[in-house]
Amino acid sequence: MQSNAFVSVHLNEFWKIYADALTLLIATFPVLDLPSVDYLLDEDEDTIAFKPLCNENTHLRYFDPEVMKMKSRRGGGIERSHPNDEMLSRIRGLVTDAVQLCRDEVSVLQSISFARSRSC
Amino acid sequence: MRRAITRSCHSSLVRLGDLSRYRETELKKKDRKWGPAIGYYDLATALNPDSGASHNQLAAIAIADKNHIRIVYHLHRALTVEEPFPTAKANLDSEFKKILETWRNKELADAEDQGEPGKALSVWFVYLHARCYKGVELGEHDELENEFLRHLTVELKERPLDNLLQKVCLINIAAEYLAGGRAQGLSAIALQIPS
Repeated sequence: MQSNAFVSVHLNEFWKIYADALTLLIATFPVLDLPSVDYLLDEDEDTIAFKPLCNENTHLRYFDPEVMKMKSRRGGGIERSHPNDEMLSRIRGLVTDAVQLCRDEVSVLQSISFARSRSC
Repeated sequence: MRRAITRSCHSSLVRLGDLSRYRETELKKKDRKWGPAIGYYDLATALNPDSGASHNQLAAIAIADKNHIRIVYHLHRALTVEEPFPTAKANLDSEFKKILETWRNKELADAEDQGEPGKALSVWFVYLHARCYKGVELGEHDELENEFLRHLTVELKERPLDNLLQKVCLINIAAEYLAGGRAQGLSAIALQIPS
């Protein structure tokens, strides 16, 4: 896809917008104090076994690494957190994913981050 | 043994959903209540999420409702699992052909749906996907995409689109996944292109 000039222009634009959005999130929320939930959120339960999202980068959305089992589904006696806490846990997930992407050696995010740090 | 029992229960739930669906389609022409059928299909998915059967049957309900975005969504979900439903690919081909035909006849959006929230957005979205589906370069791709994004911008400012937006995202992800598979020349049933 990178070899396609048309797509690569849009991809570069996408990464810049993504980086800006993550920067805004980190500036707005106390990232280190964001809560997490130990059950499947609605959108996670809806995408169990959805093959495009079945990979090593996303399996922690569905599995609890401490017990190596799939997280509990909603209902069945599970006490759900407040909707605000669930939303904060989603933000935590977005930030976690971004950090993971930054660790990727070929991630464009790294080059955007490096360029911005040099311009500061 | 456990796997065989799970498969048997899954199959039974899908069949119960089918019976509930037949009851509504055969006995009623309007005000159909799909609750029981959807309930059975959802239970089947919860029991065996690797099977695409439930989503294919949910697409059948969407076909009865003439809801194109739900049809496209469920058929994509029926294809992007470990056990894709065998006829889901053909059903998706047929659905996209129907979308293009009804677009040409200017019938894709019923007159009474014009004011329905998210309707125009859904119409442009499924039409864009129908045009992109064949994998052939599209001259008016930017124009179609911008029209969809314009509607999305308007809708997002007016109301939350949680359910619709999730379907849009998952359809996009699934379509990219399937297109990537075709590009790599995978020969699974779900990825065969009819001649």
